Amino acid sequence: MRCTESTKLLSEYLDGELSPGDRESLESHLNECARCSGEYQAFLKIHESFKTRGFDAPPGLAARIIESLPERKAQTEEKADFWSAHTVFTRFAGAFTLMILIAAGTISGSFLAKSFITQSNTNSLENGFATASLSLDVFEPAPQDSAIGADLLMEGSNEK
Amino acid sequence: MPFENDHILIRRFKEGDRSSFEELVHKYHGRIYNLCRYMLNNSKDAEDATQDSFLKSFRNFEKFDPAFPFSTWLYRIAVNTCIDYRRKPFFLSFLKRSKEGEDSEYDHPSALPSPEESYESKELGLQIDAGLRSLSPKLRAAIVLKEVEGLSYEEIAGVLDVSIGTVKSRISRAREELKKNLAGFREQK
Repeated sequence: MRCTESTKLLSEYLDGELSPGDRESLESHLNECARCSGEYQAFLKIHESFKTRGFDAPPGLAARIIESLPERKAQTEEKADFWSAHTVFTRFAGAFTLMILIAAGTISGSFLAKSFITQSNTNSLENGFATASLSLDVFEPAPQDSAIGADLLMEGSNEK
Repeated sequence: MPFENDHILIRRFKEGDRSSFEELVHKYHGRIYNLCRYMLNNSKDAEDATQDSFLKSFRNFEKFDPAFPFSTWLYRIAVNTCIDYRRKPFFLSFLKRSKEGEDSEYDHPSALPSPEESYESKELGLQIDAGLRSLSPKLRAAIVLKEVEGLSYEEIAGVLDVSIGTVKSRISRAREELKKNLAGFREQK
């Protein structure tokens, strides 16, 4: 066994968690290698120092802990818990409903707007106005053979 | 058979017998205090953390899975409580907590060394305390559960909710750090 392998196994060896095969290999290495043996002794010293140092709980600590424990949940508290859970559910349901209403409003609003435009276009046609009258097409020159075209021609000749 | 006794106490407590939980407090408060004392390196905080740990276990008892030992669950709560204590904002620690290593008058080491051993043991103990303070909470928890509480790797893995490989690695790293700290301390002298 090499020193690098040995160093990795020292902690597990100290805790008695090595497999019998690894333990045997490590022990034979420790018998031969002073450096690794020294490392193990340092780990062992730390381990021993923990053994001699424990801390007793302060007197009366258990009593103070018991005193600080709340009363076990009464029926009313359980009800309160139920209602608090119910309130959370209600809030989620409310938020969800609001989102649905907003979505429905947006969709129906777009449908209403579309139907309004279609209806107004139909009314315009019924009143004898072309839909194009709302557009810039109105500024296109009028055909010469139309009544408006003839008037414009006459005005032009009068000006000359 | 402490494991079976715990389960009897737990069953009785669930049936409404409050005194069963009080028995669990009497049984485990010393071990939990010792763990917290090592984790926090200060007796006042250790006492508060012990009390908080039992209070949390009492309030969250319905979350305890009886398939596992009660002690593992309690240790987990205590370790997390201690880690939370160390994470507290500075201003809270200034108001409430005393500093690490600042012991009160009632901090009693349970195994007193003999007079001829006392000086060396005390020196070594101080070095170990200083070394523990320099460890991260994760390494500190692993080494304390191993060296102080004497848990197996499997039990520590259960308490810390990590794999056995991680436990091995953390304990080994903690020992290496403590060893370096001891060496550094001797060089300074």
